Amino acid sequence: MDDEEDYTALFFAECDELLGDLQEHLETLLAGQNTDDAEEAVNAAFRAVHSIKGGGAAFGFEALTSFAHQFESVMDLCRSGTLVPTESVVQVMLRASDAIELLVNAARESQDCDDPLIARVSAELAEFHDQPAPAAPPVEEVQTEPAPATTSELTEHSKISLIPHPDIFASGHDPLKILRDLGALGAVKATCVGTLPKLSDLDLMSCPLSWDIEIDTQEPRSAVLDRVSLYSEFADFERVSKEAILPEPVPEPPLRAEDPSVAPQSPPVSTQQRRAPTEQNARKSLRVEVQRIDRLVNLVGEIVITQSALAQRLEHLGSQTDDALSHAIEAMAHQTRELQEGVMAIRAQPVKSVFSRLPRIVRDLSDKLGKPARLELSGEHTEVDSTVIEELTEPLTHMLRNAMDHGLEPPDDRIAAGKDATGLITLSAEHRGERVLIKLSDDGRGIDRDRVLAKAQANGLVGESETLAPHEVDQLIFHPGFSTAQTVSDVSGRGVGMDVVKRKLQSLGGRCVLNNQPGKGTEFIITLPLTLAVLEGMVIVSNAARFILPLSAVIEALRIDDCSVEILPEGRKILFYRGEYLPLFDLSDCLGMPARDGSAGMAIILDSGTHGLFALQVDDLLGQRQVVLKSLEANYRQVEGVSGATILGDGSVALIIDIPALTALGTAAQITLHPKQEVA
Amino acid sequence: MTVKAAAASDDAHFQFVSFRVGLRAFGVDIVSVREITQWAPTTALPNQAAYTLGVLNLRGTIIPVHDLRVRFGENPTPPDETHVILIVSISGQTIGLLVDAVSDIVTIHPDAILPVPAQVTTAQADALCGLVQGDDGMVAILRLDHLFETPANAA
Repeated sequence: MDDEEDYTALFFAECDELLGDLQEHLETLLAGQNTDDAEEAVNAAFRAVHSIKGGGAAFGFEALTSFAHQFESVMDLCRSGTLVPTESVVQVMLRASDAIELLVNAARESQDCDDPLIARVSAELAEFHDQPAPAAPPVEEVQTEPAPATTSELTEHSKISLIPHPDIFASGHDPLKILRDLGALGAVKATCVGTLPKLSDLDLMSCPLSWDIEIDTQEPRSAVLDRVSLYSEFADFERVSKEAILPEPVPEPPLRAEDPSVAPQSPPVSTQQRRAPTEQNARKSLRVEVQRIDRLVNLVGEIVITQSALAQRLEHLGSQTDDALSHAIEAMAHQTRELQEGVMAIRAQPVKSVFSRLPRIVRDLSDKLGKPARLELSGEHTEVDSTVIEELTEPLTHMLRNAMDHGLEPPDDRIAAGKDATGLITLSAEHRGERVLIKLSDDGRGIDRDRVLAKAQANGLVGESETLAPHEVDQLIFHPGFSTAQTVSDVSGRGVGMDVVKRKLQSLGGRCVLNNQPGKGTEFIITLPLTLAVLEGMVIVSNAARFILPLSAVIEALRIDDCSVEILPEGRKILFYRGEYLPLFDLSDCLGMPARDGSAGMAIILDSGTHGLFALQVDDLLGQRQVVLKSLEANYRQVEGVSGATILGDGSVALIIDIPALTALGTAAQITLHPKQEVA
Repeated sequence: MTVKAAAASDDAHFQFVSFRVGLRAFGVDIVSVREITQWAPTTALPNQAAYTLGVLNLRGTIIPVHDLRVRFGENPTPPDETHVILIVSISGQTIGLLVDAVSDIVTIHPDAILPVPAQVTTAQADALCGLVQGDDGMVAILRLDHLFETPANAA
């Protein structure tokens, strides 16, 4: 049972990948001018659907299997040239890929999927099928309600032999399942042939046996063909009498060809040749549970800490140490760093897995909004830790919707403004040091500052008489109170605005910069750490305890003696920094720590993300270091004002400050202090 | 984990680790005890219950440490190395209990665990699951999952 579940989980994991591939190939097909590309794309898409079908059949997901079959046969028509993949055909295929995703998800939840989309797309697919010369009837009909034998067709004894591939069990199939499945067609008489190897030679994972099967069926021959073709990847079927049951071995490139050039174009000659690349590929990549990698990542984190503890100890010993020892420790520092990078690289994933979902959003929105648009992606292969990838989808999707809804103008306006009628949105990713830089830009109208300002004034975010610099106006869109008051559109503004996006990015240790050129377009530049497992932090002391401030939020550190600190009538402190007054909080007070005895020596200027800059008063600054993030929730619970903890070189625990939460703690009563800080 | 359940699965004997907190003696089911370590400085957490001393690094894992003296209404345990932290697991989480000293591992018959008198309804009584009359006086067996407010039983 457990095994079965494992296999099912594996199948669904694979399905997710295959669905992604499918989507991508269909996109290529849609965009492809080059016929070679189109042909390759059809083949690749076909393979993806075929694999889903095969797996679905193995696990008995009837609805999924029959739909996949239907989908596959339409693509087969394209492959054979009977059907030309025009744009409208590909659109249907894209809808079919949506439908198949629904079916996969339904199967995952062990539910029936009654989404009307499936029936609709199924009908659309069937139409293609009916257009050309009569091919096999849609498999669905055959499976659900065995059509009464037409008088013209004679009862047919189909004799075939079933020769499972050695790896049949490894692929999650079972000869019994195949036999049972064939049993649905009629009485099956199976005779086992083949010799059992000696017990000592018996490999439990391979199947040494084959069967001769006689099916007493009323079904048309095509039904038997269809049934059998489902398993053609896992077993060979030979017609014992008459002609071969399989029309011709379908060109069956490796399941998981990473490199498109590996995928053979011409039909391979024999089974052996056909499967060889699969085996090679299996060796090239491994499927490993994420948990195992996570454990490794944690362990390496420990080693890094232990290593720095060792180095610190050595420093304390001072000049007494011999050179060999310090050299060894130094070498170890390099090696541990390299080890850490290596382990993190295992968990790294290309941002493609996020990017590849976006073109469809643009396409859907184009239709909905009546704004033709093109999305250009670049740098999809930039690798980021999977912890970051998971969190990236939501903010990116939201920003893309915004760009489509608010950024791009309707085609008429664009033409009037001398632009191409089709809007252009570009999304790129690249590495920039220890961070990844993601740029999303559109060539739309940009942000209308007058409108933004008017809206902000109407919402009371900005006083009537206040004058703001252009970039300050742009920043208003990140303010929490801004987007909620906007007209709710079906596409973007549902009360979730850019403030949510910015907060999300901030919680990931990221930053978001807006570059607005009214009339020409908008550009968002996001920088994110490559991983959430380690964090660049600034170590500070407050009230005799050490804390970590995420370096991504730190703007500047100042000596408090060099700053001008003022006290407002109600006792709140403010600090004058580069032409404006910032609220000044004491970290110790924010965290409700007991009254201090020492005096605050430093003021750290921090970016709260949504509430602009503020200053934090701390006792001392110890320096910067990379820290390994540890959760407090694992053995305790979430603590307000703290995003996690880390272990310092001496083995003691330091808390990592949650900057956005800190401002909330500190600003709770300070909203009216100075409206400009809110928005700056 | 109640005493009864532990007893049933363990062929009619119950083992507990006994320890002192102030002047009183307590015990916890030995099944819950992971290890016993010497006192070490903890890092304070903001805005937590008075008995929560802070967090500690236990070989790379961050665990909270609670002062049992404070939990039972006494003055805080002085922070020095004469005290001991008992590492226990409660519903999947590992936590530390700061106690004065661990005394012994005691094996008794489950019948020797006497119920807490029903009339006693203090906050402390809720955290006890039974009383044992030992050679040096009474030992109160703690019901670990009722000892502290956790997300699970806070509601």
